Amino acid sequence: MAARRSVWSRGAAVAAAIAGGALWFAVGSFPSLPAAEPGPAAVDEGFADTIAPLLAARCLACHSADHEINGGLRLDLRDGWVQGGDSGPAIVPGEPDQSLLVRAIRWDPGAPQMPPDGKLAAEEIAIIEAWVRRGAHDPRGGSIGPRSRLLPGATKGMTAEEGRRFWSFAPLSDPALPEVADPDWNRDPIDRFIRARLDAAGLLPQAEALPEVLARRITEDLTGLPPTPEETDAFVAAHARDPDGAVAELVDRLLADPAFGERFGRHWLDLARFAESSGGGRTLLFKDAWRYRDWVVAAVNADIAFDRFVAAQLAGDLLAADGTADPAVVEGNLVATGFLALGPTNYEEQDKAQLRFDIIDEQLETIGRTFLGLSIGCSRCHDHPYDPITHADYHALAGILSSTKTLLNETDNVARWITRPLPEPALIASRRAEIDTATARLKAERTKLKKETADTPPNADGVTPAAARSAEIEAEIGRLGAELPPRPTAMIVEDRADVADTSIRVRGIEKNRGRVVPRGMPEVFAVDLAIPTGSSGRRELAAWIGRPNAALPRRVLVNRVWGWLLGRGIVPTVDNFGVSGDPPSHPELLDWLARRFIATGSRLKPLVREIVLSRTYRQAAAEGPADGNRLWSGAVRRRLDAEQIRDGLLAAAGLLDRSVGGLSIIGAGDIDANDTAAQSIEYGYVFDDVRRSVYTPAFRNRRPVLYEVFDLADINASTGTRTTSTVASQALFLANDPFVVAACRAVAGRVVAEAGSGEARIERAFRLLLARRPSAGEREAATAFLARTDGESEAWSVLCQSIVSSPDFRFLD
Amino acid sequence: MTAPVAVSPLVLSRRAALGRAGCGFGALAWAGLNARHAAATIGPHLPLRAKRMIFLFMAGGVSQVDSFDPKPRLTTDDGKQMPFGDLRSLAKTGKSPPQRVMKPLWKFSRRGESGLWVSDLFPAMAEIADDLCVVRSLHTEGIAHGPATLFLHCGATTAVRPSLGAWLDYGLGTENDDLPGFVSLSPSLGNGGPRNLGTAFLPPIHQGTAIGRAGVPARESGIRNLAPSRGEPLAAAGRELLAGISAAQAAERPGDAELEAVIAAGELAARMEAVAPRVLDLAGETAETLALYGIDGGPADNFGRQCLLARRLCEAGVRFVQVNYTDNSNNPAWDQHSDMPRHAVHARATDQPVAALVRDLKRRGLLDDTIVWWGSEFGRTPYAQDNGTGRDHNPAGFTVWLAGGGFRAGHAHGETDDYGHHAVVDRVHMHDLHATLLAALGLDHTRLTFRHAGRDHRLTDVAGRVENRLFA
Repeated sequence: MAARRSVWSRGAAVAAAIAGGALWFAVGSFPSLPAAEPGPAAVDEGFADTIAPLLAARCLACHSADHEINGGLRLDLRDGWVQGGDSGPAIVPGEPDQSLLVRAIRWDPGAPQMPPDGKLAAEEIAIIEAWVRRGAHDPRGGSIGPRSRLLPGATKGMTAEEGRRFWSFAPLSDPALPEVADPDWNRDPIDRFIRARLDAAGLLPQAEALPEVLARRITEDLTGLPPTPEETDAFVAAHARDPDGAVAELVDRLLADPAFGERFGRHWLDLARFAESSGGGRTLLFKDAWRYRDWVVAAVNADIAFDRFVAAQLAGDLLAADGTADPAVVEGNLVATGFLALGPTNYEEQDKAQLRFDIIDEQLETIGRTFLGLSIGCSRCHDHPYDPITHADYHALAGILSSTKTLLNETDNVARWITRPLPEPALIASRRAEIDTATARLKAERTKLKKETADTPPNADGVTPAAARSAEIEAEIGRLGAELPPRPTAMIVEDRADVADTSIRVRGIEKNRGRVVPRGMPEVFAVDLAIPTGSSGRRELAAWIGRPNAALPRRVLVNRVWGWLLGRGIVPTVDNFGVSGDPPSHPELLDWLARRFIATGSRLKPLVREIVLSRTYRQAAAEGPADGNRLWSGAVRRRLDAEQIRDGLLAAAGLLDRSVGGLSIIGAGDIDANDTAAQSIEYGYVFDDVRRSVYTPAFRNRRPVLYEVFDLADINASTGTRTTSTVASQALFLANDPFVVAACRAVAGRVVAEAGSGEARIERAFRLLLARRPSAGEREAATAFLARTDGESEAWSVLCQSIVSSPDFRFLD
Repeated sequence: MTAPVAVSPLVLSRRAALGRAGCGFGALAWAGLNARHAAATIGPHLPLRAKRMIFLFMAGGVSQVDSFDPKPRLTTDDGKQMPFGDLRSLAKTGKSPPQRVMKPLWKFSRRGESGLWVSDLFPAMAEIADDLCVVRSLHTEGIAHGPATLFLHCGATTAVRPSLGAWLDYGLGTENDDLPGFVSLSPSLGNGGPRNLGTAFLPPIHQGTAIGRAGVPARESGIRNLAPSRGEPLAAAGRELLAGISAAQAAERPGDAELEAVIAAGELAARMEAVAPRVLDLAGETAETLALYGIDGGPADNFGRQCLLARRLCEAGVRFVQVNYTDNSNNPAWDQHSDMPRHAVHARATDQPVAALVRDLKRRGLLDDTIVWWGSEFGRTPYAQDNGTGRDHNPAGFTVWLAGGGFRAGHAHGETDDYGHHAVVDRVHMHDLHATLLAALGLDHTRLTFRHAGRDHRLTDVAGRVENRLFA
């Protein structure tokens, strides 16, 4: 015994110690087993002596009815490995190399590593291999029962049938407009739905907000900027003459302002988890992502229909050449496809099959949240615990994206995305072609010269003729290269050549393949996408989302618009229209808005106009806590978001650069984003521009302090509602950050220049920063401060900064 | 000249706030206004072994076979070409070429009364061996720095998840009213960057506060925007003015909780302005202490300052301090792909401060309820990368150590195989380490959950097992 023990590895000794004396004996007796196919009695004895103790010691704690049944696999009876777990039969008798159990205990590449807390000793593995090779005779009886009980696929959440009856999946209703007694509230359909519920609850709405409050609210909501004092004055005067007309006029003016696209485009960019670098592990610069941002802003300003908006983002590459010769549309479609490519991809992941599936999962989660208000990602590993989205549904959608190419290749150490050159005006394109030809010719000549140089003696000056010509060539190549700006390119995805349905990843593990699922929508939607052969199905997916009778995407969208304007959605969980989300407070209004949206061409601006003109929107702020205001018996008081705080400060300071669009990352024009120099741009970036915040470089690993402290959306995930925190770092920022100090000095400069007396200057400061006049208490505090700091040159900037730090600067009534 | 200024009782000038702070008013009613207190209602679930934790992050991957995991076979087989199943090659190609065994570059000896093996790479840590609980059987996810660093901090290689520190702050709240509960010293912008101290979907209040950043010397690092923008007496007049304006606005909206929260946050900021600089200032430390940490302008000066600051922050009530030994590159400090001897450079920069921190905590009676965790995102291979002079990443088996906080001192747990490549005996997955650390701090990793996107999330996802054998 001792002699035999000495040839064992320490691992075996430890495993044996765990198993106890029986295993000692069992393993020790291994060499005595007959090598030839034994009779039944001998087999049973071998199993009991060798295999059973090993299983008991190292496997059954996780794979038996008495403990756990991990992975659906039982090893406490023969039927357990015969039927197998999630990954199918565990043992193929006679074929150790094809038996998953054997591959797992060997820790073969691609197989699970079992047991997870420590590999079996080589001798123990050999015992099991030999047993399997001999036929895996196992005398243990019993049945594991119906396999479905152990396998994913049995729906735990709603069935598709139940799902179709759930409010968010059901077809749009056609609700009748309720009659309300108050004639002012009985005109506008929105108001009738809202007022009917208030009446039923015995609540009264607020009166219309004061005109200067309305001017600030509407201007901030539609443009993300404060009104100037002059704009406020004009509105207040117009409002005194004709309140409804004044609001309509203001709304129409703002909807036509490019700032509307910047504001509502920004809302969409949150949903698109827009960023200009990958973040994740090794962050890479998305040098072309700004084109996607600009496309969104332009699409909102042009008010393109929702179906086109969706189609361009999910399948723009496929639409690009479709039915139009307009180069701007072709370019827009390509650029919009960036939606699928600009996620927080971990390009450094070494297992590229895993990376591919992680990208698909991220795309699905983004599409699900953005367009369907569903967390599809839950179904990556199993059926959705609540919603009618099964594991198979997930892979039906995943097939569409696995038929889509998002990575340039799957061999680069650090992977990269796909860029495609954009069309250029004919004149530039032909000149670029000439330059390319000329450059190629010069490079060829340079190569030829290099060979000749060695053979040619230098002239009197020590210069060879070839060297002189080389210098000329270099200069010429440089001159040609600098003649035109870099070729514009866009981040895109495209269909793969090997378009195919994909197989279920059991428990979400990439290498754990189950059955193949046909591509399509989840069963609950009861729709056949009719994906043509050779096509990924993205175009059909987009077309379905854009179809007017697809109720869920319409509800999700109009609810978002409502939430952007009124501070809370009719469904408060704007990204979750599933069972675990909140139900709509006004389901009829939600469906009415969805129908209205369709009736007005599925365009954003008419919907925004309709909502803002309502009495509901125009009410004064509700009193009491916001969650006591579920029926909109008053406006929801909101905190300005980070961009509004920054842009408002710059606007008040007279510093805001209103130029629209274009490359925003200085130095990113022609850099290879996979170059570490691109990272240096991100890490060392100095955020000192004064453009609107939507154009601030949106790095994933580096944000300006203001955005961090004032709750910019999580740049890594599709986000429909931002959190608003109230933390000390905000106060420190407003008190001490050089940006705030500089901006307040500029506001103070304006205040002093634009108003004469102390009194008038105080008023000017409040109007520039809060879009209202100071209250008596504020005026008193300011006057006392100025008296105390008489003659101090910085006094006005401190006054402005105190207004900026006060609660009312950051809240919108 | 002074004029009467209306000051609401809600609005305190900094001086008044400090006066109250001096009287220990932390438990007073304003706690109700303080979102930090309101937010922390989750734990503890378990008896506390430790109250706080310091994580000494050795970014890049310290080699276990050159430091804490002696493998004589590496010396006897040095230079042999052997099949190892290189994880990077397997992940990319499914195949693995043979690799050349490379012996340890530093001599191993048994240390202290416990006889723990520590190599000459870390002479100072060797002297505190009896305080260490060395886990030699760690394994993790992610073969490249980005994925593995994110897994170390957030328990996920790709999915965006809250960091360990954010979970702790969410689970346990803060122990102090004047400072954040989670601080990261000189974090990197790379390899996940802000996600490694981020909250993902947890409330933003649990975000780690960075002091300095990688590449900026510790002596120049501070909390952002803590330095007052204006001198006195103008600043004092400004505070009075803000108090007056805020009071006037509050009077328009009695009982508005959001408005009161803004005012309370302003007060906390004022206390931080007063308290934090004192905590961050090492000037009050004795010459003996500075020398202990190696703060002498030498190679350990920078990390010494960070370690000493970590102790001071812990004393001030910060729950979790991460001390980063890193940079902003894709191949952080310890990443010796081609030049293993460079490990010595990093050892000279960190060994003395790390040992000093453990000693200092111990002599101050803080080690009993403070966990010190030393480790990397992964280890290194026992064979030469591309058969050169460095070692590649190895997530399959590596070493971390824990000290204090109820962990078993002078103990080695688990084993790797004969070459130190794969953890094979008493394996501890990174999820298990997270579960165990949470348990030590009184949190059950299966109950520390947050509902997001329709389901309850945990730091340990659906895995993790508390390794109770690590506790004394």
